[in-house]
Amino acid sequence: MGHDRELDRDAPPPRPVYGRAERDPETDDPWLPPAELAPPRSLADDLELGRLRNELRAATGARSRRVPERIAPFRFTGDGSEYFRIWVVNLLLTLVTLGIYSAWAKVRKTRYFWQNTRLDGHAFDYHGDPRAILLGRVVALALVLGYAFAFDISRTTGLVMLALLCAVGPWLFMRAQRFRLVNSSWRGLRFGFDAQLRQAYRVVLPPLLIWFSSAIIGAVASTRMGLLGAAGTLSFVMIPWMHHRLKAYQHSRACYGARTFAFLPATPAFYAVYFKAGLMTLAASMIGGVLIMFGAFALRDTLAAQPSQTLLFVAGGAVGLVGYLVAWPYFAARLQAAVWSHTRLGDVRFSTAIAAGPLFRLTLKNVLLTLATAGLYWPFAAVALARYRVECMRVESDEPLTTLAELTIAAPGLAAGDAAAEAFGLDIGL
Amino acid sequence: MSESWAATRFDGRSASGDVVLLRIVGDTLEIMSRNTLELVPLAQVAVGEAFEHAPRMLGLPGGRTLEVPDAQRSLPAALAAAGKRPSWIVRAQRAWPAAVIALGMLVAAGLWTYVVGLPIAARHVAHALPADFERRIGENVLELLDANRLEASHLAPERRARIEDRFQKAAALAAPGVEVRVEFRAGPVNAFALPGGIIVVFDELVERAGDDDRVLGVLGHELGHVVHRHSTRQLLQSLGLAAIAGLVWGDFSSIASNVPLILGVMRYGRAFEHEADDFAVAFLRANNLSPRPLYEFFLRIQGLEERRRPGQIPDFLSTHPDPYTRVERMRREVEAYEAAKRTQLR
Repeated sequence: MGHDRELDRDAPPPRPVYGRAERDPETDDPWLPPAELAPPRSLADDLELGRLRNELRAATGARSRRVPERIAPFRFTGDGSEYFRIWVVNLLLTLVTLGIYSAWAKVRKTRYFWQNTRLDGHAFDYHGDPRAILLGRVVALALVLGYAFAFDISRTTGLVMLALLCAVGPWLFMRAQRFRLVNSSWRGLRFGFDAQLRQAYRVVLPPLLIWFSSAIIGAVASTRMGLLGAAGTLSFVMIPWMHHRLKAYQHSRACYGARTFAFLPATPAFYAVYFKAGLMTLAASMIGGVLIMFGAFALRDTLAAQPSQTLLFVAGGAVGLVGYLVAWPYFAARLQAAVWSHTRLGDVRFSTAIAAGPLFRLTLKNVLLTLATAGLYWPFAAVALARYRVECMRVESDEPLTTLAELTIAAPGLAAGDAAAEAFGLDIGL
Repeated sequence: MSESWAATRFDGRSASGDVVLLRIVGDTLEIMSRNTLELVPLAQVAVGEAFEHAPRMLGLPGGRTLEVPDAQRSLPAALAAAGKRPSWIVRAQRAWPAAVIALGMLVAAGLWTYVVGLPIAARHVAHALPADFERRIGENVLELLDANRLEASHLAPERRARIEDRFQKAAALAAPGVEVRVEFRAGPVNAFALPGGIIVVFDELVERAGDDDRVLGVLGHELGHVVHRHSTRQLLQSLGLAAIAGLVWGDFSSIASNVPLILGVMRYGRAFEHEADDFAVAFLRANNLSPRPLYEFFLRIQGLEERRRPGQIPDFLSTHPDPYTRVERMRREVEAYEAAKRTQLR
């Protein structure tokens, strides 16, 4: 039956590979070529062939009884109690070394999350060099502190600092993306980022200039309130556009071996997500504010003894928390869906089943338990969140992923060793 | 028969992998595929950290990798037996007792940083900052306050000049070389010091104080904040706390990491008030004045507020958990001063 299909070119998918459909399901294994193609029995066959098969089948998620799927789910195998121990030790060492260990902690943490993420039975891996990350953090800290205080020193220093940020910003962003991707791998092959200097400036400089426009106008012509207001409004209205531009850059320059990712334009989708999330934040904050006012009225005798500043802080924090709880899950879910439904890797498509409702329940649980345990639940929360977000992801392709992987080679000039030359790592996520 | 492990070998140049069988023989890793046998000295194998539910990643020379499912979790012991022991950090991360000890140490280190480390660091940094820089921050804050919340003082200019003049003379004696200036604004019973020696006094404080000796005492207290650079230190401590909170709960939510920040700011306020009170006493002594007017001011403020609504703490004392200790401290200072005076007279 499988052979018939193979002969009939017009037959719709699914297309069996190697004519595997006819084979005995018990011995069928995606790892091994069909029996008729197999070389004579080898050393590996003689050595505990059964156990080898079982182990590999377990590792690859028991796909053996069916024709290879065209929808491959991501799996996450991380565990809260295991990550808790890693987190605690990382944190202690970071504090004791006055933050220097944070670069090593980041590598450990990322490795934990990557290696526990599986696609088609194989885990991802992370190879970042902690020393490069430390260097990147020092540079980022210097820039942030420099910008935070530059205008306190003088207007000229502030403007020089702004110019410096605009001059190096696109380059830093490009290097950050490159560092992250070049140090991530699946099936032993690293991802990559096609980083060209001129393009990085063309893409990243406009958002950067819009973002800093009010600061620049404020420094040069602070008396012209109309202009200042216009710049502020512009940068506010353009946030979804800027986010989309950077995300599109990130996703369209990424590659896996010689295969490059593509990103289909999605600016309206970004605006829709931002607009609805903004409305939800507003509504939630108003409801939260009213609830807090009622609460304050009910407890007025107890509260009267407290300093007014503390109350104000606590009330403000509570309103913000309510807004965050309601709007963030919606924002995160819809944005992840918008981003991945517009991303392609050749013929390979991505989709995510992530939804605001489950993400809201998860976030609520995470926040409440983290607050109730004075932060100790945080690593469990991080693992639970990663599990949900990762396991919602699917890869859809016409060919089985294993077949595609067999055909994927490294991009010319980007052999495995090249990544080691990446001496500068920055965390600029999106 | 020695143990063996199934693995996938990747060459790093493509995504295709081949199924291999691993064995550890002495200090050599044997990699067997269908038709090849590769021997790699274990010293050349980059052994990745073992996680409970993830495959084990082994790096081979030439950018190649082995992904070992190791379902029985027997590989770590075999590697250890062959001399590939994980680092002490990894061992600590795998064991619960070590994690519990680390948690205890973390709490201790966190408390120490919060109570001792941060204040010391903030003090050193604050005193190392150029005075010009501090003044600019102070001016900016005052400008911001003036633009949004503060109104001009209604006090008679002569009275303001008299208070400021007297204070400047006293300050020159008690803290020579410290530049300060007094700004009067309309507002409730309160006064505060901004970075760079700007002291803001509200009208109601001057009016309610009753006489200007008491105002001088309050200004002495604020001068204490200036001399000890409390506002700058407070700013730096808040930044430090924010950084630590970000490290602990980073990328979780800015709100969760702000909770300890708010609590921390409240606590530092109290320690600084004591320091400023002590300075005020020294300031008055340097000018051969009794701390009694300041004590009377505290009593008066407390009385005023108690009459208004029981249990409420006046703004001036709001960062203090218990105004009585503060008044009590001041009372003891007054007694000590007056006892010393009596001895001198005799």
